[in-house]
Amino acid sequence: MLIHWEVSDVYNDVLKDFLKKAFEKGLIEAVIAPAATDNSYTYALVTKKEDVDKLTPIAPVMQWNGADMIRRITRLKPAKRKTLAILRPCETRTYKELIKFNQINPENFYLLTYDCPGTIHARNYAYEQTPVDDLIKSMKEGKISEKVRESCRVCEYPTPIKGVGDIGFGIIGVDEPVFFSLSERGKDFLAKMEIQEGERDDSSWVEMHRKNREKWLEEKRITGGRKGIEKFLAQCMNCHNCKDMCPICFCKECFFEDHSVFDYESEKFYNWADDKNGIRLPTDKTLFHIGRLIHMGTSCIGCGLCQQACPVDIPLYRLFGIVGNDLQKVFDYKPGVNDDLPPVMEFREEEFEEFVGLKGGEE
Amino acid sequence: MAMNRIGVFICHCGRNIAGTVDVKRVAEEIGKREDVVLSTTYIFMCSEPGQKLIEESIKKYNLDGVVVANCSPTLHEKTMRNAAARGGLNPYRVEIANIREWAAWPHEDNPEAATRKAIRIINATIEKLKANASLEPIEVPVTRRALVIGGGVAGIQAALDLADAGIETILVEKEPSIGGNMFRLSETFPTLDCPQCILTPKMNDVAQHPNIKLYAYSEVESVEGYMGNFKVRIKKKSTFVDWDKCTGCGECLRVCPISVKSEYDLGMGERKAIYIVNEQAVPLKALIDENSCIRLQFEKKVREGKIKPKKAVKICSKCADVCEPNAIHFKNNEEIVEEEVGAIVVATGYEVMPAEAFPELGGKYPDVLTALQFERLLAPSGPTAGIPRRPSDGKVPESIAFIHCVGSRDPQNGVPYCSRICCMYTIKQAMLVKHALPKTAVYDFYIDIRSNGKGYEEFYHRAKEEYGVNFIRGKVSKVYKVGDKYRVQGVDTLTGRIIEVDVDMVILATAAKGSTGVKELAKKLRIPYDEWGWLKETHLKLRPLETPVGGVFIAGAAQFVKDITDSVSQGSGAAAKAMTLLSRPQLEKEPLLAKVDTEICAGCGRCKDQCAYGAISIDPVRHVAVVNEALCEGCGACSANCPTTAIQVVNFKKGQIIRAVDVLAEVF
Repeated sequence: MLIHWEVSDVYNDVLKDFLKKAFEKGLIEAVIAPAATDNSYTYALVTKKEDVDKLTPIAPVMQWNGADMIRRITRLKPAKRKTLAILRPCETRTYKELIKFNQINPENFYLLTYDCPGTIHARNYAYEQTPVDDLIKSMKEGKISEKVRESCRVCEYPTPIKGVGDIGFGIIGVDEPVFFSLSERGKDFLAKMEIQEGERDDSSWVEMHRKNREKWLEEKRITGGRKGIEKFLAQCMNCHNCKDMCPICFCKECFFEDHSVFDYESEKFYNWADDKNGIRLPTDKTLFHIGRLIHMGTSCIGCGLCQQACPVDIPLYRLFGIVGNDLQKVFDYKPGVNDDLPPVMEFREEEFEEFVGLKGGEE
Repeated sequence: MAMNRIGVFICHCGRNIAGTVDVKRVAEEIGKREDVVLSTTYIFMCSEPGQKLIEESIKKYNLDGVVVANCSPTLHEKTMRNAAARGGLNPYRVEIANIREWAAWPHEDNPEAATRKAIRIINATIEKLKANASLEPIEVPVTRRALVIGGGVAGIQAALDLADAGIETILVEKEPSIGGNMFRLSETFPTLDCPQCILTPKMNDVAQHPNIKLYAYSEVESVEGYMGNFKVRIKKKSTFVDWDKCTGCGECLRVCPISVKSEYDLGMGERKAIYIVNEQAVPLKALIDENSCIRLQFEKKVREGKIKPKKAVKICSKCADVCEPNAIHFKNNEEIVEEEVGAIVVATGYEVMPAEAFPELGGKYPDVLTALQFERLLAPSGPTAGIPRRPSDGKVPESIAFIHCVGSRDPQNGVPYCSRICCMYTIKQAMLVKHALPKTAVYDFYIDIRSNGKGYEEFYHRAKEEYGVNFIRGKVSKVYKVGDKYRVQGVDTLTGRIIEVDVDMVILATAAKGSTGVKELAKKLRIPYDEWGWLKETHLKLRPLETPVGGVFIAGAAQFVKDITDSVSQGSGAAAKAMTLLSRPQLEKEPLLAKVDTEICAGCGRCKDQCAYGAISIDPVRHVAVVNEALCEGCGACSANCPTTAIQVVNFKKGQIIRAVDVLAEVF
C-alpha cells in the first residue's frame, strides 16, 4: 500500500468531511486528490467513501500536475463515474487549457480548488518535512512562506477564479473556511450539498504575488541573446525531464526524441566544426529548449514543474515562465483563464498590427 | 530505401542559365556524389529532345530518382514528371531544382557565386529527393453539373457555354434580374451598341435554356465539399409573390401607391414597393420590397407587438386586388435549396465607389454623380429617356465636367490601381452628351488617356475631333457650389495654367472595387481575395481563371475590373475550364497530401483548427487526427503546426526538409 495515513489538520478535515458527505448524497462516485507517500505526496483515485481518509486534499508538495493525471484517465474515453478532483489553482488552469487541446474530456468531472499557500520543492520536502499547516498558517498571517517554490512565490493566480473550476474553498481572511461556486455546475453542487455559499477577501494575497511577479519578470529575465541563453543552460544535460513534467507537453513522442531528425553523417559535424571554429556537443541542446518554448510557450500556465524536475537545478521557470509571459502578452492570451482558443489553434486575419517587438534578445 | 542511382539533368535554358552559371562545372561537381550516377547538361530540358534524354537515361542507367535543374517548378515540374513516367520511373521520384530564378537571374553580375549557389541548390534538392516515396494519383468521382455565381455578362456567358455543352448549370443572381452592371449602361464603347439590345438575346437564352436552372434574387448560403463534388446551399430570398403564377404583366406596379428610389437606376429613378426591375428583366417577375410596402411594414409591426390594432384593419392590398393570376400572397417565401455540382464559376463583378466618398470633388451635391449613375441618365430606357437632366432641378445641363481617376491611382483616398475602364466610358459619355445635347459644353479632366483596346484609340480621336469634347490634361483639386453652378478648379498641366470652369453637372469616374459581399462569399468558397475585394487568381498570367481551390474558377470583373469584351471572353474561358474538369468520368488528384502517423498523434486538434479546407477530423474512438484525402490540398499548414510532426505531407517530411535546409544553410 503506497497510500499512508497523514496527521490530520483542520482544513483537510473539512474537505474530507465534504467529500464523505458528497459520497453519501450520491453526488460523486470517485475522488482524485493528493495522498501522502514516504517523504512526498502523489495523486490518488478513490472510489469509496471509506477511502477518503487516505487523502490529503491540500498537500505541501506538488510532485505532479493533477490535470496531467486527469488527462491520463480521460484522454481516450470520458469518465463514466461522477468524479470530484481537488486541484490547486494552477492545476485547475492546466485542466482548462488541456480541454482546449482535446487532451482532457471534462464529462462527469467536478473541480474543487482552493486558496493556495504554495508548495515546497519535492526534493527539499524529502529532507525537511514541513506540514502543510505551517504553510497555511503563514498564508493566514499574510506572508508567503520562505519554503515554497520560486514559481509559487510569483504565481499570477494563487486563488480560485470565477469560471475556472466549479467549487472554490476559501481560507484567507476567515476563521471558518468557506465554500463558494465558480460555475453554474458548482452552484448546483453546493445547493445539493446544502452548503451556504460564503465570501472572503483574497485581494491582498493575490496582490502580494502579483507584486513579486512584476519584480521577478523584471529582474530574472535572461538577457544577452544567444550567449545569455547558452550561459543559462550551461549545466543542462539534455535529459528532457522538464518536458516530461510539463503538463502542456502532452505529445506521445517529442520531436526531439525522434533522433532520425538530428542524425547526420560524420562529415557534417566536421564541416560545421570547420565553419564555426569548433562546435559544442551535443548539437541539439539549446535547440531543444527553444523548440519546446515555441510549442508550449503560449500555453504555459506557470506551475513551475519544469524547474522542480531539473536534476541540475537550472531555474527553468525563469526561461519558460518569462518567455511564456511575453508571448502570451503578444497574443493577448491568458492560458487556462478564459475561453479563447490558444493562438496557435486559431487563424486570425488581423493580428500583430501594432506589434513592435519583444523585450530582450540584443543580438 | 534511400535512392543511390540518381540522374541530374542541368538545363542551359539557352543563355538564361548557361550565360551566368557555369553549367559544365556544376555537372562535374554534382557528378562527384556517390549517389549520383549521371550528371549531364542540355540546352533546353523542356524541349522534346530534352525530355527524350530523361526518358532514355532512366532506362539506360536504371535511375531510381531524377533531379532536373532548370526553372521554377510551377512551369515545368509536370513536363519533367511526365517524361520520367514515360521512361518507367514513378513521377514523384522527380524533383526540380530552380537554378534559373534562384541562381542565374539574381546573380548575373557574379557568375562565380551563381555557379556555387546552383551547386548548393541541386545538392539540397538531392537531399530532399532521396527520401521521396513512389506515389499513385488518387481518384475522385465527379458530379457533372456546374454552378455559376453572378448573372452579369460574364456569368451569363459562362452559363450559356456550359449549358450548350450539355452540362446542367445552375445560375445564381442576387438581384431580382440577371444582366448585371452591363444592363445599366447607356451604350457601349467603342461600337456604341445598346446593351439592352445586345444583352437581351443572351438573357432570354438563359431563361429558355433546358440545361439552365436560374435562381434570381438568391444568394449562396454555404459551400461544402471539394473539386468534382460540391454541395451548395442557396438561399432564395423572399419575394412575397408566387413566381410560378406571376406573368410579369405589371398591373400591380401601376396601382401600388408607394414610390421609392430604384436600386437598378442607382437612385436616379423611382420604382414602386412592388416592382419589376425593368421591362426586359429575366425573369420577368414582380416582387415586393418588404421595407417600403405599407402592408408588410404594418404586419411586421403587429408581429413585433409595436402596434396593437383594436379591430380588424383593412390595409392596402391594391396590387393583390388587380392581380389576375392571384400570385401576390404577401407571405414570406424565403427558401433554402440544395444543389450538388462538380465545378463552380464565380462571376460576381464589380461596383464603383460612391460619389459621397469624395466630398472635396463635390460628392455631396445632388448634381455630382458617379459615371455609373450618369449611365442611367444617358440610357434611352432610363428615367430621363436618354436626355441627361440635373437631379436637383430637372434642368438640361448646358455644361458638364467629367473627372477621371477619382479614387483610382490614388492610394491615399482610394485605390492604388488604374480602374481600367474609366477612360473609355468617360469618352463615350462625353460623346453621348454631345449626341443628345449638341450645344452643351463638355470638359474632360484626365491624367492620361488609356485607350489600349481594339478600336479604342480611334474612338478617343473621334471624340476629340468630331465631337469637340474639351480634353484637359490635369487633376481637379476641388469642386464647389457657386450659385446655381458647380465650380471645377484644376490645373492644365500642358500649359501650367490654373483652370476654373463653372458647370451644371460634374461626373466622377470613381474607382472600381469588388462587389459588396464578395469577401463573405470568398470565405465560403475558401478562395483568396485582396483588400479591395478582387478575387485572386492562381497565376496572373498563366492561370488567370483558376483559384487555389480545385474546381472553383473565376471570370469577368470579379477578378479585376474588365470591359465587356474581356468579361465575355473570361466567361467562356472559365466555362471551358469547368468543362474540362466535368468531361472526365473520374478526377485524378495529386497524392502530395497530409498523412497522419497514428502511433504518435496525440489528437490535440491543432491541425484540424488550422486546416483551411476542413479536411481533418479527430477520430473519436482512436483519438487521432484523420485526413479526408479528397478535401486535402497538401498545403502543409497542419504539419507546420503539429508539435510532434505526427501529421506530415507526403514527400515533404521533416527529415527531407531539414536535410535540404542544412545544405542550403552551410557557410557559403
